[in-house]
Amino acid sequence: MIPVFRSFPEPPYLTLQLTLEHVQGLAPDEKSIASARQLLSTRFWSNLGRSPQAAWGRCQGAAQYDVRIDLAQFGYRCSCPSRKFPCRHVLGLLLLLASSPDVIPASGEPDWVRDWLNRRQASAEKQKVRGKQAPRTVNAQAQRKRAAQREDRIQAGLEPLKRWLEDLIRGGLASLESKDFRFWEEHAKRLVDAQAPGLANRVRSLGEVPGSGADWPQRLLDDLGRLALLIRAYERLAELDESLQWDVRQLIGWTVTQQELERTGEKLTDNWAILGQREEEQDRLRVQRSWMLGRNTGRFALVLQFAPGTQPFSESILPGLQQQGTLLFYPGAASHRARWGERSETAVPISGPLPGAASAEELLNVYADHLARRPWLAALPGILKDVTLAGSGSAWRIRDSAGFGLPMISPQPWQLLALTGGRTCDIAGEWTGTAFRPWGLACDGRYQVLP
Amino acid sequence: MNDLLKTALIGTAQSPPQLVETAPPVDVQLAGVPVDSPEQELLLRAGVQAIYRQAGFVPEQVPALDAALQEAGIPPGDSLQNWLSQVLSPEAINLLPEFVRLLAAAGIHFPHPLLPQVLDFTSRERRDLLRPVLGQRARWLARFNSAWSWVNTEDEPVEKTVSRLRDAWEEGTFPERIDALRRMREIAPAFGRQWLEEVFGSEKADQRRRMLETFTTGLSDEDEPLLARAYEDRSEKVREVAANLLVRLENSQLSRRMQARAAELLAIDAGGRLVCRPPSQLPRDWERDGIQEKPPDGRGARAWWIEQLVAAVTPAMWQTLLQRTPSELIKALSGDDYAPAIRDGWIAAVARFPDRPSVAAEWGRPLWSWVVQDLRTQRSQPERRIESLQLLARAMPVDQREPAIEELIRCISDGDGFPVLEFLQILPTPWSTSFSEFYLQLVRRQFQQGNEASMLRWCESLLPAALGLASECIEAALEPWALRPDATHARSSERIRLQLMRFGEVLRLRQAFRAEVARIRNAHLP
Repeated sequence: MIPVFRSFPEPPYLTLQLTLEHVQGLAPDEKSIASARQLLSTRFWSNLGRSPQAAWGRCQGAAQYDVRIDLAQFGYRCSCPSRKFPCRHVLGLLLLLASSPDVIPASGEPDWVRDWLNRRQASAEKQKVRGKQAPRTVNAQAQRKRAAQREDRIQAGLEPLKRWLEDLIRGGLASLESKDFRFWEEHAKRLVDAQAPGLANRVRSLGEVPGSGADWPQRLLDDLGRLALLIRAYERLAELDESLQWDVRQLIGWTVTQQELERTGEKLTDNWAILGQREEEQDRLRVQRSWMLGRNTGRFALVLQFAPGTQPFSESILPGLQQQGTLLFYPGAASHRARWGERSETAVPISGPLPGAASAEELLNVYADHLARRPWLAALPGILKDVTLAGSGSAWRIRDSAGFGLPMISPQPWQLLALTGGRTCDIAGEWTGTAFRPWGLACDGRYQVLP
Repeated sequence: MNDLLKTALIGTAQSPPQLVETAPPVDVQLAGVPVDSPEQELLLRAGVQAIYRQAGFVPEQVPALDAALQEAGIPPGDSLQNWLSQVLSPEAINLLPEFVRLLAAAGIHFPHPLLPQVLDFTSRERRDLLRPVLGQRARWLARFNSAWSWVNTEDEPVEKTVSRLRDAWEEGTFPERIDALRRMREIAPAFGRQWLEEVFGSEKADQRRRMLETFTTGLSDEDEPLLARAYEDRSEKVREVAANLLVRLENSQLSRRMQARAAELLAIDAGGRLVCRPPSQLPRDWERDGIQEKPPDGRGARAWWIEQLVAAVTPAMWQTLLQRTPSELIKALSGDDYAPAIRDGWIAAVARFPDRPSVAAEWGRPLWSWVVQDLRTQRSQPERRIESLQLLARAMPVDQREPAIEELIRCISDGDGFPVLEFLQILPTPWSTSFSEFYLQLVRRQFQQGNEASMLRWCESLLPAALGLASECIEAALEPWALRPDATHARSSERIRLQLMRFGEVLRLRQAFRAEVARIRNAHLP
């Protein structure tokens, strides 16, 4: 059979309403999506089918591969040996599902799909149970001892760090422009050894400042100053509010353990709109940052996922969709960091009006307020309502209805300009203290994620 | 620069810190905080100051931009956008021209989210194709990106175009200069000529050659003085280009010399036959005018001189000189020893004089039929004849190409190794209904009766055909295809089945796109 390309009917049977953009968002790289497009026809596929829970098919590639997609608890599996996730076969089936769902007949799941779904179900439950049992299996005394040892090492690492910072000021920042990365890396490594990876990352990123733009001395001094404040705050941790204590500990590099999160983390159930997503490399790890907004509470959340090399992230988070669910917030002052607790099986495109700041000033005030509670805050999520784009060349601003403009970080303003045509829209993104980084925009009643 | 930064830059070892100068809130924050050293204190102050500055960002007033005008066209909707985004991907089969023409005919504008992608197109052909569907949003976007200014050039006043091109010519990179010169030759050839005259003496040989090549556009008798100068150039390559252009000017000195020589070459004898009397030695003045003495491998020297000379004069000259139609001339020539050389010369001349459409119209088809007959009777070494046919097919008026190629296919449909595909690709798309029907009938018959090799060869033409077939014939093309079951190996029949599937997909996509365009247009009819 040859697939019939028609306009897209609303598939009521699909719990996950996929669009081509979502599928593109899932692809590990451009090439994968290009090669998946070549599979966009039923001639490569046999045994195609879908049910409310799943979609499946056999794809004829170099050999025959079994492709299974869990539509309810989004996940996938393909029997091919590709090291890309999702592989082109999974992407191909998703594309087919998004672009011409009517070529995939609805039917009951065959055994090879049913078995896999059952296994997924079972392991998900096991994980839940394990999560609940975890506190019992931990030897509290041993844990305390380990923490005390770590504390000693961190304290031992702080002293040389302080001396080194003082030496930098004594010698003058001007001489640092000629230092190569090894100079900074050496000190970063010492902090890794002292089990303070948060400080290590800060030192490492200091190395990127000298020589980067005319105002680098000011930025370097600012960063050094923040680092000195952080060290001082850690030394006098006991004098701080409890919530700020959590913050400072996390900034130094202490991780929040599973029990601590369960015990102190705030649970919030809402309809979570996934407004934006970014992926970056960090120490050979891929870090995925997904920003979400609770549609009822107006709370923002940041969910981080880590994966080594080309491995897939353990949870699939699709920007542009919204999902009912519970997030578990990490402790800390005005913290956004969270992780999924439970979430519903359905996701729908973001729609309807989004709440947000009516002016640049409003957003900046909220930012200043957050900064007062959490001085090392890097970026604040926010939505700017009724704004337009203004500017020219490579300097673009987001202009509020009173005429005030915020500088915009966007490698390519063109997509935003093409979508808005200079008309008013709502732009979601994050304010970094000097510029706004857009994630997506709401215009004509729909939300579009920027690439 | 504030004092903290100044001190930090120089270093406290050189300049003892003076730390009283920070703003009051910083002092308040740090009051009572014990510090071990002046450096420590400087760092803490810098940190507090940084956070205050971060919190105190003051936005500036910025002027508003005018929004893009409302589109006059109909919005395309999600389906069209999805399909267009599919065909825009580089590995996709080239359906863009057809889709864009459909949008244009229905008055639907190009989807906004895809604009940045298509505005980056650099090919002239694709830009001209897209311009009618780009609409207000694209014009608006082009205001902010000079690389996209091509969108607006249509309504640009001529003076502005000229001054823009002049800037590019004077200040641009070499490719930009060439492009500006070519554009100028289209708009006002005399200006272009003047530009080149001004710099001709000072450019390098290779650049002179490339610049001169743009003169194929807007070529006229007024270009002769400059071309004559280039014909005396130090560089052989430049001389070659100049000669080529001068020959195309029928009244140039060079053309006249060539015509005089050619007139001596051919004559009608008493029996009404066309006879050729080439010189036995290559005359010195022929050689001076660029006729090469040594033939390429496998050809006789005299035949080679004849071919070059015939190729240098417009075929129309023979009609006037000998008072015969092209068909009559071809017939009268048959049997002459030098007939193949003269024919090749004529074919080269037809391809060389594209600005005389009547030449290609009158000479193209008779020459074509002659070569096709030859191809049928002499099976050995068909390469040169195929090359001639390709030259002719490209030179022929568009409406003559289909019947010509139909004639060719009928003649060689079972011929081994014939590059059918390349000829189909010379045809403009969409094909006519009658050619589409001819093609479908032929390939269906090949698949039922042909041998394996020919089936496989025709199978490779399915994809170009999927782009070319007239839309009225899509239904017929989608009817089930029967394959002769015993003729092929499993691998071959798998290959054919696969190509048929892709053929079907492309056709169905075309059909779906067409239907959706019609639906949207109807929904917007008053």
